[in-house]
Amino acid sequence: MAARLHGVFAAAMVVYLLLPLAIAVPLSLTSSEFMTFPPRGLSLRWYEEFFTDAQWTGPTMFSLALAAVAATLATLLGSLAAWPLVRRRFVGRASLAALLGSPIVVPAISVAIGAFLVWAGLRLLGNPVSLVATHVVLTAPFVLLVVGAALLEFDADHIGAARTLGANGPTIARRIVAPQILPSLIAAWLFAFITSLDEVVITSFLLTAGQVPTLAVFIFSQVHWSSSPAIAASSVVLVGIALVIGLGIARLAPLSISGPGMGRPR
Amino acid sequence: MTAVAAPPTKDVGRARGQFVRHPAWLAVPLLIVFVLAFLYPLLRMGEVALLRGDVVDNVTRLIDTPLYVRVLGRTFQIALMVALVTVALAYPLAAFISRRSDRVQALLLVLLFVPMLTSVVVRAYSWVTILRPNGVLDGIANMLGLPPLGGAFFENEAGILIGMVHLMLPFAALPLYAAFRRLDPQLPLAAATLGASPARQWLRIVGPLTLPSALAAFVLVFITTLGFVITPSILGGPRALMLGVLVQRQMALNDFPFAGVLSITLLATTLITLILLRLAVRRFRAVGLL
Amino acid sequence: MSRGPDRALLAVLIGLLIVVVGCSTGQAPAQPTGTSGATDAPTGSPAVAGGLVINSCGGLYGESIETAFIAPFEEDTGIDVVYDPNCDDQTTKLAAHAEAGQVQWDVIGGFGGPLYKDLHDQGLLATIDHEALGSDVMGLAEGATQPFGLGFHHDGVVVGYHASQLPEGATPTVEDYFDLEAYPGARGMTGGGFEDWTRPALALVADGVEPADLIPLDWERAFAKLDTIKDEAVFWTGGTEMMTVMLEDRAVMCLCSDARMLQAQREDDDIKLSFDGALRSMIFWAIPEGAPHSDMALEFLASTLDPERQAHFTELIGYSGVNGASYDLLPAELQSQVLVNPENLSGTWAFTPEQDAWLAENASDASERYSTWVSE
Repeated sequence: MAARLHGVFAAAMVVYLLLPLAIAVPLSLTSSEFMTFPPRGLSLRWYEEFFTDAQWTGPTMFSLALAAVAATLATLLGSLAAWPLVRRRFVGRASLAALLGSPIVVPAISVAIGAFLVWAGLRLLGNPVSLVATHVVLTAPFVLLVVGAALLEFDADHIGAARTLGANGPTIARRIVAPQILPSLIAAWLFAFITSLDEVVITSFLLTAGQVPTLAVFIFSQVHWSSSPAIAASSVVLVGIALVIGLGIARLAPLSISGPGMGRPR
Repeated sequence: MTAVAAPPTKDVGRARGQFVRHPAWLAVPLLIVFVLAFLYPLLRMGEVALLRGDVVDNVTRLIDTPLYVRVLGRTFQIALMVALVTVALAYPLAAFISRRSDRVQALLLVLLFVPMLTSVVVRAYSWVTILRPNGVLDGIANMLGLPPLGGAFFENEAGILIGMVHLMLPFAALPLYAAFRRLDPQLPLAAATLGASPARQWLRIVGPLTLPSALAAFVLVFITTLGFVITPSILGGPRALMLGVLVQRQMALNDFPFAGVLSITLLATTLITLILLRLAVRRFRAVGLL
Repeated sequence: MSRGPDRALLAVLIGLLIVVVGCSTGQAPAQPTGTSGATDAPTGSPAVAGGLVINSCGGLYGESIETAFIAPFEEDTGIDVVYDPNCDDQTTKLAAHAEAGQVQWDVIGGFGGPLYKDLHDQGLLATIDHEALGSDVMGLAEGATQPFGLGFHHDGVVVGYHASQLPEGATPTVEDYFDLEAYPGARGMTGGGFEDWTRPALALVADGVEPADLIPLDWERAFAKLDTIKDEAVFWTGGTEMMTVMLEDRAVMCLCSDARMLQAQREDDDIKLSFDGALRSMIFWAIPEGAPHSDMALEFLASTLDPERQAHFTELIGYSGVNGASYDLLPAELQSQVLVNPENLSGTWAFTPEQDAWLAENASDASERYSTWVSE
């Protein structure tokens, strides 16, 4: 009985999570120029526009690349930082942790102006370095939290044993720690990726006119003057592709999630 | 942050140091990027905003104008509620997922995550379509023969709640799922053979072991919600203003000094809340409640 | 035991990463189709070397600017123009540019008198030499030649309504908007965040105050009048929602922008607009102080006064141009609906420049008061 309730609850949650996406589909198929519901007539023109118009393809590719690079860097640097931050006591530890986590709380617009001043001064406006660095810092707090939580409970005996066998730091990190916290690493990467995709304000200040904008910035520049269904189409396509990739991976390598050394203590 | 709780005692101390090292310099690369891309910009902004305006004047204005105090209070209130509801929903969801077969787990995780790729703007507009008067929700109510809701969850705090919980649910569910996965399945099993009911198993074993992750998830959702602008502004409508939206408006009016004061107030109150939370956790730990 | 799938998974992920990064860097120099022949912005430099950079809003607004003004300008002069369609934080960014000493734009546009006047007073906008432009002798609409900018188009806050939901042939006035007895039904209204004095001012006018006597705004009286329709108010948070509120039949009448209602009308011809008691104001072009190519900027501004280009702009988006000659070039059906039609114009009123100055000073206060009223 309890198990069935549990199942019903989970099903309800899945519906809840997928609902806006489900709505985005009819919104994207409308033939009118606005996202109204119910759609006034059906058309695939917005998908056509998304796939063929450089206005959409440019920002989409740019955003995906930026998010991937930023997420990878953030996961790497964040995980490294999380190790001493979470497992060692030192003066100012809590303050440092709060500092590195603060980007989540500070309103982006407050940072945006300062960020513009800094990068303009360095003559690096619009340079990918400025964007990657900014996105890394903005997504690192999620990495710190997720990976930090996993590292907190990590059993150090494994490390001790490895050391007595002669392993050095990087080897231990790579072959002992990382495999055991892999689910958390993947989760952190995904959070960082998604957060980077949605970042608007600071990115908008750091882009130069005439440069290909990120997808989020582009959508925002349109939102005041159009409620273009192409926006819904863009989301449906991205999610669709991710679903295919995700389900494909889930089919091919479900063993990666469970299996020896993958998060199960011995 | 509460997630960065007391380190496991066995790692601390010189004796262990030779085997398990936590070199502090590992945090330096991130720190460098942080200073360059965040801290220095914040300081530059602070200089522009605060040194050129009259801080006392602006703080007085903030305290005296009922709008700001009200919005600050509401922002915290909403963030608190969102965090509570999100964790309350994410916890059983994560537990459920962790007990399925590997294939189903993978499938559910994909379903959990992939919707997050939907642009936050699209999500907000989708919710508007669902929640507004004569929207999808009303349509369903109609079909079921129920009276129309007439936008009961629209452009108010309930709407923000629905939209933000939706946004944050995967963020909370995933760390919790990882925590459930790390649980040794032998433990509750052993308790069961010793005669513990499922409720007892949870109360004494599963619960305490997953609680740190639940707390971490709570904190994460709480502070993320505090800073959000987009979802609250679209779903909350003008009636349920949150602080992030206000800061943006003041900035747009080029009232940098005041916007700066607003931002710092938000930051300060957040930090205070987190510190209080940590103290509370410590107190509960000391008394053995956690 | 599980090495194989792990490696496969890793390989797939790395492969994906490479593909995505590769595709993106290959695409990076691609330009949006709207701007013809725009040069690549060399990364790290403040503005496009040798070209003109214009900043205003995006979507249909930006497309209309590109089609009606930028394309012909590029053809005539051979100057490359880059259009930046991100007008969200225009004022904030302008201040940041000035602070850094690296102004990114040569021309900005899309906002009203009070805001640009304020920016000009702060030294962020260059003073326009209308003599050099020739605009002072062109007989443009009143108030188009200001020290801080050149008039771009008119902007009206009109009464938009669903004709089928009102008595046959009725053209509601602003007073009617506040009359729930004669015209029951939901009222669309802005939730605030932009020029928050407009609706209170309209409320006062509906209550019988003469436009000339509006300043300083009597807030209590204005909000009392607004309170009479508060229960039926449907608030929106952005220009597009303004249209969707009407298109989705969530309101019978609204106080909204004339151009947006014309846009909505293309989707649903039941939507009409009335200019009786409407507030008209002007949207301006301006040149930032310290713009890299201010001469070219002036050239561009001069080109926007061409009646044909202005008429084209009006046809695309519905905003009336400031050059009266453009009105004669409009198709007849459009002429009856635009703000500068003499019949429509006579019903509208506007703030004087002195009143604008007061509005600029009290913009922040207005924003606070309106937000407070809305959220109560």
